[in-house]
Amino acid sequence: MTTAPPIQAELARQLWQQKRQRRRQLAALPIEEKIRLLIRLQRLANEVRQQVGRPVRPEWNLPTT
Amino acid sequence: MCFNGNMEQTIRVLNDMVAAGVIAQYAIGGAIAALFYVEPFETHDLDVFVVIPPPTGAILSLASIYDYLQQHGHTTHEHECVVVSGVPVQFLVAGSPLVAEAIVEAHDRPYGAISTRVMSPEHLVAIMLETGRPKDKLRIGLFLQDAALDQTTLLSILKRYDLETRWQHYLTTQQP
Repeated sequence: MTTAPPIQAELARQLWQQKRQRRRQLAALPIEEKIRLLIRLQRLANEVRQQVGRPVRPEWNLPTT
Repeated sequence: MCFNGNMEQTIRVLNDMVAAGVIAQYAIGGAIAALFYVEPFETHDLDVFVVIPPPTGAILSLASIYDYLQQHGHTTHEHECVVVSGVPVQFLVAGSPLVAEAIVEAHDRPYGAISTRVMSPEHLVAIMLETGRPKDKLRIGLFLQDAALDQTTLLSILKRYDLETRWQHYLTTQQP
């Protein structure tokens, strides 16, 4: 197994740390905003399902305001 | 297929059902309950655990809930769910003493301008541990990272429902 050169390892560490911070921010959002994001996730997941020929699932079409 | 509606309206219907005596008590569980505590992840229905008033006959059923909803215009069904103001709702009852306790000890949480009842993060973790599906194990990881679990409360629940060994196994095998 080879290890990444130090500069890439540090960049990877920073990127994962940013990802970790972003997940904490998302976790701290109000529930109403999380529901809006959930609806966006449902739509994105269905786009992927359509691309790979899998059946789509119903999306919640709730007001976003 | 898309549904139109408003989740605050869905919750209002649940609260109205309690006021009307159709259900004695409810608590949101499952994935939507988890969303109150962790980052959003994809899910497709709202799990509502209900306590039904004692039946007059021998059989406990959800018929009174479905009848009420139908009478109030919520007539669309999606598989096992009833679509209530745009949100597919699956009504469930306590299938274990742990879930029964989770319903009773659910927290009052605001949603928009109204209040609802949501299972606590500690109970959700214990239920996911008890259920033990692969996606439950993934979601426990999210709670451990982001949900600010009260460890004393969690361990007390795990001890009460004989889940300590399973918890230790989870921590040693699933967590880095």
